[in-house]
Amino acid sequence: MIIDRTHRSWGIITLVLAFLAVLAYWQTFHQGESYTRLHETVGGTPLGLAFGILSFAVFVFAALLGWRRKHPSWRLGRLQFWMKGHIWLTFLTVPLILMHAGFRMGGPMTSLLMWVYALVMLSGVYGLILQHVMPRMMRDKLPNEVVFEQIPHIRGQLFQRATEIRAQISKDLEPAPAPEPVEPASAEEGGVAVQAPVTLRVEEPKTLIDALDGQILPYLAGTSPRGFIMADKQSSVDVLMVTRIQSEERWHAMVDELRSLIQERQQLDLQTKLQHWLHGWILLHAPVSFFLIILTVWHIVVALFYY
Amino acid sequence: MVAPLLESKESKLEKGEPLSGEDLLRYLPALSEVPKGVFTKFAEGAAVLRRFKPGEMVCREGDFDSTAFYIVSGSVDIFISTPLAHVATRAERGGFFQRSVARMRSLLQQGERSPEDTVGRRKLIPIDASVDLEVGSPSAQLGAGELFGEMCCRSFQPRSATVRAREECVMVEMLRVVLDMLVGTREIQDDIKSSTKVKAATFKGTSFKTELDKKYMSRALLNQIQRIPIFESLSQEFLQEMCSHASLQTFHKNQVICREDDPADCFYLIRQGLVKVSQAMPGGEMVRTYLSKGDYFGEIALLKNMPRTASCTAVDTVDLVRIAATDFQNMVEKFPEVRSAMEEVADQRMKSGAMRKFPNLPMSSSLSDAMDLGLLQAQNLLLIDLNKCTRCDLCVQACGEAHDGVTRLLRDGMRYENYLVATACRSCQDPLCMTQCPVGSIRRKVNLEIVIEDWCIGCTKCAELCPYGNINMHPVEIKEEKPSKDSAAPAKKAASATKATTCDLCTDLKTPSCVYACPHDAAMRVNPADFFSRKMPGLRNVFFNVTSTEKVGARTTH
Repeated sequence: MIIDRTHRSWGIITLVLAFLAVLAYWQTFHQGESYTRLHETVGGTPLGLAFGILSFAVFVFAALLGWRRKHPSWRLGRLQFWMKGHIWLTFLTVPLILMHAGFRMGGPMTSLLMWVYALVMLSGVYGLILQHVMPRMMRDKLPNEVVFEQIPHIRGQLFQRATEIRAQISKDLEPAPAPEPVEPASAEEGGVAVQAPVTLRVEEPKTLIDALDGQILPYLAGTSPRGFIMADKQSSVDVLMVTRIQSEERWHAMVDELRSLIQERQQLDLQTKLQHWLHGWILLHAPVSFFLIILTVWHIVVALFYY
Repeated sequence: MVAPLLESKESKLEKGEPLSGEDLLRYLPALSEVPKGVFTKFAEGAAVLRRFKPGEMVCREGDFDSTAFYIVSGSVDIFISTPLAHVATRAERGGFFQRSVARMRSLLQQGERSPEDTVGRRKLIPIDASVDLEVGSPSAQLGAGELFGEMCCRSFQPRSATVRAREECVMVEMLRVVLDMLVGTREIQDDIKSSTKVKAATFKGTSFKTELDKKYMSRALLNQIQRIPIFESLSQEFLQEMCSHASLQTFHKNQVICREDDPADCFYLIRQGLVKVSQAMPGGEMVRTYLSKGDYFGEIALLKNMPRTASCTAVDTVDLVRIAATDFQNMVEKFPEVRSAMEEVADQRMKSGAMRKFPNLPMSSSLSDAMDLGLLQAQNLLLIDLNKCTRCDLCVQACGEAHDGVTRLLRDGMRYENYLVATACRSCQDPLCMTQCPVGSIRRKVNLEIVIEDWCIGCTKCAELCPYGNINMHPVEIKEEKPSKDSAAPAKKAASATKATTCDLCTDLKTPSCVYACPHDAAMRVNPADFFSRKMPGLRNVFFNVTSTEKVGARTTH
């Protein structure tokens, strides 16, 4: 979500409505002698009630966004319209609520209501900032971004490939087939039958095996990057560089492939992290908003009862 | 896939009784017109006799085969068993309340509807036989003397329909060489030519072909014309008279049927084969669409009294019914309602022709990237602005919701600058996906969108041909008939089939669901020419081929 030129009309309307509300408040409560008395009970006056009702209506509309998102293809106005309404009308509630409350916190119940409202607004603004900033960040930092739901599957594929590389190395390390026994020299010549010595095809690439078993495979197998050296970009580069230097040239291609697997995995981890940041705030915003609606209904019932 | 032309005969004709040359002549006497030496050389082992019991399957839709059948005796049912429906994964079940909610939901999903597309509406499903199937009830019968599976035998298209014996049937199943002897050689595809070193023989055809043509002109043509919606109002007598004046024409692969800007002298109806309709553009040829069996073309120039507006080329061997300009004019004069319907179609076609220009472009690195990604070959791209997209996936959800639970787009694909080119149909300039559909269910609408009609048989050809992997196969549940031993009525058993799906741009709605559902204005459907010229203003003149005078005008108006 980027607040761009397309938000201009919403912004102007919000400002105009806020200005009119402040003007009405000023006209009603800051003129004449009754200011102090009225100021304390502004919520019960017609204007204060109007502010309250309007704010509650905005709360309900804002909450309906969650329902609207569950049915994105329904032709009830573009979701973009709903989203803009959600943002700007809830901004409008700030002056409305403050004026409805007469700029006072009131009793414990209304104080709680105000704190919850503040939390909802702050979490919303925080979410808005995140949605403003993070898409660009993701675009820049994740050149090979994948569909988020496919990450576990891709992680599995990366691990599978690393396991195959490990198996390939093990296979190459198997002893070469036993050579034919050397033809025994005849007894007359004093010879004895000898078996050619068993030889390995190659030297064991110890550093590579250690890196694979100790660092790479556990990292690729895990779901979380926490606690793994390979999860860190610089450390992984260092480890793989040392591994490459200490390995024979024939293993270099495999080290390079492992490096690309690690890099891909690191990007998946980063994507998961950024995705959680981008959407995590909703876990606070949505339940607190629901709580706010409940508290507001309670506030209305209590107010009606005592009115 | 495409099999070599002259693969071993035994592997293609596994079942049935082998027919010697003499036997073959007994069942298909017209073959005696083929020179004896040639016949003996090629006919041996190239055909078998097949006997079928009532209810026995002869072939199934979607199967890849390479033989044709001639019915010697008995009759068969020819039908499409895949249900005529959109791909749906959610069954609409439940009680009154749930049904009411579902109804309300469907009402809300419809929203503002765009005008119906009348051009491509078909009443008949073209299949690989002498008959076509009604869309509402895709089933027909074939009797003795009929031939089916010709296209399958010639171009290795999948079987277009399921054929089941109605009664005891005897058929000759033949390879292409026998078919060619009977009805004449058609052009062999280049890929088949290159896959074999054997030089294929060529044949002129026999009286069998003449008989087939006669039958078509006397029976099938009338039926075919009557089922074209815009000809519905023509009287039976007039149709008969017009058909009596019509003639058949055959065009071979890559042969030009008519050229853009040439004077028009006739109207064409496609009897068999595929025709490419294209226009010359500054940057090269632009394929407007592919037309198949049952479609028609050439009406615009006759109606508007102007030269041909597009070139039409045979993609494979094409049989056309040619109706002369005088008969056509006679028809539109006598039946004003036909004229107005045709003019409406012509206007839509011309409008779509004016929709796109494809220029010779100077290459900047950015533009060269766009070319490399094939973006400029598209008519319509789904772009997601990655600066705005919050990865909420509402576009994908909306797409699924609008298409019975099966999404047609993936929020994944190539990147161009800060845009993600989502995996969704691009309505390519040259829609290769349309070129091998055996039942003509994939077609292009006048607004250049590609749609897959409900009678798709799930043969996967279009999905294989799409260069961008934007056609997906989805499973659907069908009721398959299994012949039962004890009763005459076949038992029905649940089975699984597949159907192709592609983005149809939410064809009935004004705004595609993915774009409508994006809360952040990140998803957009764009015409690449328009879009890239706006992104790179210097290219605007090139894209729209604007002359200097027009440029001045444009500046002053803006």
